[in-house]
Amino acid sequence: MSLGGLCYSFWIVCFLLPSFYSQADDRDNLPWILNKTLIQWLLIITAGINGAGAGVLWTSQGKFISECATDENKGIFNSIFWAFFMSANIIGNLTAALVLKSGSKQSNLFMLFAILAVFGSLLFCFLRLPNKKTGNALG
Amino acid sequence: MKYTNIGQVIIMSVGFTTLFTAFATCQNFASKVLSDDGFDNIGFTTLAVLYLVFSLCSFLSTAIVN
Repeated sequence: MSLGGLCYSFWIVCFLLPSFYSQADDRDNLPWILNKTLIQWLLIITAGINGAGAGVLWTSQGKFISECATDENKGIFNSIFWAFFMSANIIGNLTAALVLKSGSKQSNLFMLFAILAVFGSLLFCFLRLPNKKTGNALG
Repeated sequence: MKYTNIGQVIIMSVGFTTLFTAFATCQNFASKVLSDDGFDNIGFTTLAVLYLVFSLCSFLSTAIVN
């Protein structure tokens, strides 16, 4: 398990990539003044990169939680994670409804979401190695 | 029952919450907004490409994470 030390430094770098690409995917909705076919291809390409990053993101998420948890509390750690994650849907759709209802433009909404995505991805920088006091940590 | 690493889990959960607040809502909006802006069905196409690459890269991502 101690070989996870080197894994995690690579792994947190891998964590950053999909978040920035999802942010780039949002940003491409903005400039519809630009060339249309360029935007279409950019959308498809960034969607592909975003999907590649999302695979890494979800795999590393499962690895991180299972390394943080012990056998007794792996259930509650996963439930905490999913509670936060599903509240993201509630908050996001409510803010979208409020922002669009208040009459502001779509571009403002996507700017807000891009900033939120960058902020969320920067939070992954602050993750540290989980300290293991018990032996069998991988659930 | 000890909760030794619960701070790390909460930090990661807050990160996921802010990230997917943006992403899930944009995903809901993508097909409607893009068809409103003059791109016909590109929202559905981009979402299909996204999840296609996602499902393919999930096989490979274990090697990347380790």
